[in-house]
Amino acid sequence: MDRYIVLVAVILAGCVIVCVLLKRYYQNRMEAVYQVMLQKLDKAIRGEVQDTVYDESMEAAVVERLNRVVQISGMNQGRAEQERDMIKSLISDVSHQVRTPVTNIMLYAGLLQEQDLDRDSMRLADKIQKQSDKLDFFMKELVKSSYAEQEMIAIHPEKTCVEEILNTACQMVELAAIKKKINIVLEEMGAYCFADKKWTTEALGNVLDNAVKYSPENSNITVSVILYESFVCIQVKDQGIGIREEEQGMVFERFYRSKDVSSEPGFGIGLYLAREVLSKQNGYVKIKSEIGKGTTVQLYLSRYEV
Amino acid sequence: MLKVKNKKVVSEIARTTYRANKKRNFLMVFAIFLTTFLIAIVLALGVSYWNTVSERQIRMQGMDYDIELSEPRDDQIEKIRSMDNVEYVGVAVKCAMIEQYQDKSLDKTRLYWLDETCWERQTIPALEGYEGKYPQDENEIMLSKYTLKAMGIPKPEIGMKLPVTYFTLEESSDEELLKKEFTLCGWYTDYSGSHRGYVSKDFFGKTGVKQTDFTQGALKITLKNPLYSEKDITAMQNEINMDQNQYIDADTDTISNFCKIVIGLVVMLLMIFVSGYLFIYNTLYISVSKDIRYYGQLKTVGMTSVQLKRMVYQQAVWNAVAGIPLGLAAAFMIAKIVIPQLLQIINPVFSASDVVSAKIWVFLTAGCFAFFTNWISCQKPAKMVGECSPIEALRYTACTCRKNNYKREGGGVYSMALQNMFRDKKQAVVILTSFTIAISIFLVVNVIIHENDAKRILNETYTYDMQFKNETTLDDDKKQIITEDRISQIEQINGVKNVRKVTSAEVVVPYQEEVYGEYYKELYQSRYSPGNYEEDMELYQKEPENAYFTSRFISVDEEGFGLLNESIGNTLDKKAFEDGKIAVAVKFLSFMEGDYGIPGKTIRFSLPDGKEPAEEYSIQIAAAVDNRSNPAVFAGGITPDLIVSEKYAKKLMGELFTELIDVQYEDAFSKGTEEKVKAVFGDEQQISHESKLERYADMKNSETTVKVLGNSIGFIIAMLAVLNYLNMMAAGVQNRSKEFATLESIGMTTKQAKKMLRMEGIGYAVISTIISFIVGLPISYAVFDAMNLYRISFSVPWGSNLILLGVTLVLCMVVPVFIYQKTQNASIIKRLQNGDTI
Amino acid sequence: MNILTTENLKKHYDMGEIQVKALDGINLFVREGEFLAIVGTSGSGKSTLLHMLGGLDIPTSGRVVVDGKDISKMAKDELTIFRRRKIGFVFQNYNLLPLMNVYENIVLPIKLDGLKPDQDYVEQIITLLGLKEKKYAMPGQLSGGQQQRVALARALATKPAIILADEPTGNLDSRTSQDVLGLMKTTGQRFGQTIVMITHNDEIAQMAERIIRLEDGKICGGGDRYAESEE
Repeated sequence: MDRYIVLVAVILAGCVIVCVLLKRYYQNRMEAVYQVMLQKLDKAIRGEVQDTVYDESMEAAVVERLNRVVQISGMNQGRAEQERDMIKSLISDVSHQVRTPVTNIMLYAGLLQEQDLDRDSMRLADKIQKQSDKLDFFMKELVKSSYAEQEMIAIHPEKTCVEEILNTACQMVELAAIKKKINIVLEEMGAYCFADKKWTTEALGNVLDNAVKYSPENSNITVSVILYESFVCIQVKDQGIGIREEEQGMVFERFYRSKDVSSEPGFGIGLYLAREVLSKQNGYVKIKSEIGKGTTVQLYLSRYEV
Repeated sequence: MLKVKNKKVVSEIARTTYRANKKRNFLMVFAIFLTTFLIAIVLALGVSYWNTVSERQIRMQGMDYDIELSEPRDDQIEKIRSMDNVEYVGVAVKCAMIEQYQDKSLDKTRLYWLDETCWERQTIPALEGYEGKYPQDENEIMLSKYTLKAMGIPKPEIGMKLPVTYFTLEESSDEELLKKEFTLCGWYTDYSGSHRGYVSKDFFGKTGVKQTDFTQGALKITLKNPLYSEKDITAMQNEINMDQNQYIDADTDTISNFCKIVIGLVVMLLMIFVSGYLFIYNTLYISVSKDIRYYGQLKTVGMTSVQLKRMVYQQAVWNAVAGIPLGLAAAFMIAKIVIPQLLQIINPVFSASDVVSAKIWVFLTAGCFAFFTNWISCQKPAKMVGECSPIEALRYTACTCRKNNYKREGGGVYSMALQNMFRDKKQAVVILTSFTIAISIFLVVNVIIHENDAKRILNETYTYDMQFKNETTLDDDKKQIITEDRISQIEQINGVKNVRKVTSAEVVVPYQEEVYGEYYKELYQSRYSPGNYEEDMELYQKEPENAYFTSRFISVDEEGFGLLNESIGNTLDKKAFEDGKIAVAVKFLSFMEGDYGIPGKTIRFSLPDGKEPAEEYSIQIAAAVDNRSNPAVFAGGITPDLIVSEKYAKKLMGELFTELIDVQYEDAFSKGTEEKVKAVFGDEQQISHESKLERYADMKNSETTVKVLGNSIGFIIAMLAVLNYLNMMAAGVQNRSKEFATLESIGMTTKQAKKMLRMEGIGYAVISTIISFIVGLPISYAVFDAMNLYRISFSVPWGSNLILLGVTLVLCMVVPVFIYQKTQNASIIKRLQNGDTI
Repeated sequence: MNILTTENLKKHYDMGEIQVKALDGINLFVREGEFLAIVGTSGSGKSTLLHMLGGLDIPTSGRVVVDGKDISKMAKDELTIFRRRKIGFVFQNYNLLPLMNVYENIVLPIKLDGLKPDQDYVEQIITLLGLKEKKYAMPGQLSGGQQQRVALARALATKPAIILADEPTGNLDSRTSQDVLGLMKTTGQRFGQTIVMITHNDEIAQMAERIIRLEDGKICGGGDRYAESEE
């Protein structure tokens, strides 16, 4: 009797085990299918078009649909890009076209000033000169700002020597600094970072430009490099007019200009540009300032591969 | 240098700490209690067994000696006395038998003569007490109180006159009755329960009995080392050049049994010790780990290592003081009841009254042992506490993070479970060890129970369910009580499967040396030699019909043939057997190996009760079997019995006399069937029966006891293992409280956490099961071998083992999950903040 | 698009006779992709608020809606799974699993979901956070800053709707704090991740785009650092 019971129990156990194994097997198959789908979806999200196999499997049908989705969004993107290109070329064209007349205006205004004129006429000639200068300046800024549209900045970060960026950027504003008798102190430190040299230099140039612009004569601007574990910080410290606390967030806005600096020329995109460039290469910008006591701008560049 | 008076303060703190930890204390006390209890029981068992074994022989014989040489010659006595391993020897000779005292007929009262050594050194120690002195004069006698009482003398007096009728045991006396008046010079009390008396040397001399007379004289040998082996005996035998009839009576079985039992007990003791040690150590370790922060705080306040260590020890002592007496008390009580039963199981030769219970010192030893275990278990934890640095202690987490040398990219629930199992190597080892021990013990217990299963034993040793014997078979006026009618009655009973009929008759076998020559030679050379070979053979040739030499002519039916054939490996030709061409011869004595060239020979015989008493038949003998295969029970003379088919026997005998029937039921042990079958013979006085069912009822008792006892011991040890596991799991889960909270915060559901814990539990269960099978099965076989009294085959009780595994698995899975559920209920934040102190 | 809102969120504790109002009616809006700092002194209720937002604790009254789902009414296991997929945590004391290496710690939430990790994405995170060299190291072998970076990586691994950081630099020195905060900001920008950080340190809060100030369980100030209005 005992033997039979054991036999039955073993058979039952065997059946149970087989059932469980079967269930597991099918579950695994299902999971595998889902995983494959998820991967394909991930690829589609990234915008990749995937190879289709032209058979009758469900998988192929799904891939085909996904490709269509990618295409459509690609198309939309393409359209947006087209429009942008149009605007870009429009601005480029217009600014080019305007260049010549403006240059001419400036030339003639200059010539006019050299003529022997009565006082009233001289004043008028001056005003024309100034306005044409402004026009020229605005045109230049317009070109610059057209590039400040996000999608037009193409950042290619690579391992760069920080020193080079510093030196190049400082050169950019040397002339203006010397004019105002401002001393630029460079505290160098050999360090490497991952950044796009051209654009980072441009960004740093903007910051230095601001520092020079808003600092009084005979003041110092200190440029130093601080090493963190994950970042290299390029710090620009000036002794200028400072920024009000409530405005410290807003200065990064496009075209924002504080009332305090309305006397200086500027378009209000320097810092915006800097922030965009840095955030595209995994860095960021910080500002510390107290009104009347100077401003410190910190540019953080990533030390890790981006 | 006088030390600062801070002992008291330390004690106070110890006391406060102790009281605060009620739960842990309870666990510890319980563990100590269990360990003490078990150790005490096992020790008591061992000691009792030893005592009982040594006492047993003494009591049975009424004398204290180790081995005995029968019918010793003087030269042998000298030789043995001078042997290195012999302490001393004494001679005892049975010389007379008292038949009557005055008019009272006595039950065989034997009279012995003992030499001085035998009396002084071997008999007196075995007596409960004695009065008077050993007989010196020829007419002096010393009797046992038991005998005196049987004689009707409850209050004996020295110098009493006892007129008796006796006969000497001299070989040629032929039991001639003599009268004599003895003077009682002393009496004694012993436990042998036998009717004995002692006489003087003079009287002994007068009887004419010699110490070398068959079965009368004996040399009682006391060895220096009471533990002797068969080799010792054989060596002795070889030295003393024994005569044909002599033998050395040594109970080799008891000794080897004893050794096996002792080994078994020592192993058990070791296991209990290890289990107890592991549990106490683990509990302490865990509680110290939990409290290490507390101890660290004490250290920052200014307590020294020494003081802290003392605190740990003090608490351990308090636990011991609570647990050990409890354990001892429980053990003592149980011992009184249980041990006699237990010993009877191990060796059914003992009866309950034989057992000597253990003395107090056993329990004291157990107590000390338990205390010692406790002490040792404290060492490591105390050291830990003493050596902790205050800051570390405040941040202590009982986790050793190992270096990861290979690049692993695992991280699922299973992977985590595997890691967690072995994160604290020590704990893992402790758990696995205690589980392995528990499971191994259960394996052994299971085997023992299985082997002692009465039903199984009976089924293997009995070939029938009920046997009816006609007790008049050998009588001159035998009656055919087992009639065909009755047989068919039984056969028709519903529950009866079949009835095997065995008939027998007297058969005269003329002396045929060519057939049985070798057989007889062997027989006469053996210990049980019936007498003188030449003389007997002469007599045989002259009078083959002498009852001494006739044998039984047995017939079996078809079923019976089947069984017979099976027992010799199915070598018989069924047709030839049926037709009466071949027969099977049965050797007279069961220890006779070999077939002495009998098979193949043709034997001549005649049947005095057959159809033609004068006719001589002949038949070829196909095989010579052991008496165990012989279905018949009634024996003839020294000539081998012949087994033939029923058909052939009927042909020769005409009517067959059924000596017995073997009844087999459809369902063994069926009570209903048994009653109906028994009713067929009603109360026929001359039919005796032997029933498997009745035997079973007897054995059931011991079987139940074995089951209960075995399971109890296994259960207690299992409890230790389970408690250990519980403890460790509880500590583990709580230690990982912070981890669980983290996991939950990053998204592990309770279901997944429980799954992980369950996996860990299963892992432990599986590993310890595998190890314990590897370790436990060989041990259980050894134990089986040691205790195999019924000589049945070894089989692994898979059924109960599977149950054991199932229970273990379930337990291991349920416990951690249960603990998790009970403790991890606070909100995640609280747990994260509290860390490991929940 | 508001990825997280609370409606009149309240949390009370009853300690005997006294009722402690940890949160007393919080109405909060968090935009998708922004880096928000919640500042307050000890006892201001900021930790409690964070725990409510993350579903680690249950509010006494009020609602918490994360990515469109009201989590204040969810069952325990459902909430856990929601948390696993939608919310990433960075704690002050890192809370890494000591027995698993860096990589395993990072992909753990993904594995718990039964999914295969998106290897490219995980590698990206590891590189961006400078953990490439330490990919197979054990937490015990890492510095505080590195451990917090691993915690951050773990929080990012499942691309959650929102990352909640509870005093992430509390156990770090100032330099390492700057580091970790910088990484939080940049990776948040990179992946468009919404981050809500609580701290008692104003300077640390400056790293965020928007600051909200808590006092006595109520919002009492702060605003955008960039002048975009609260909705």
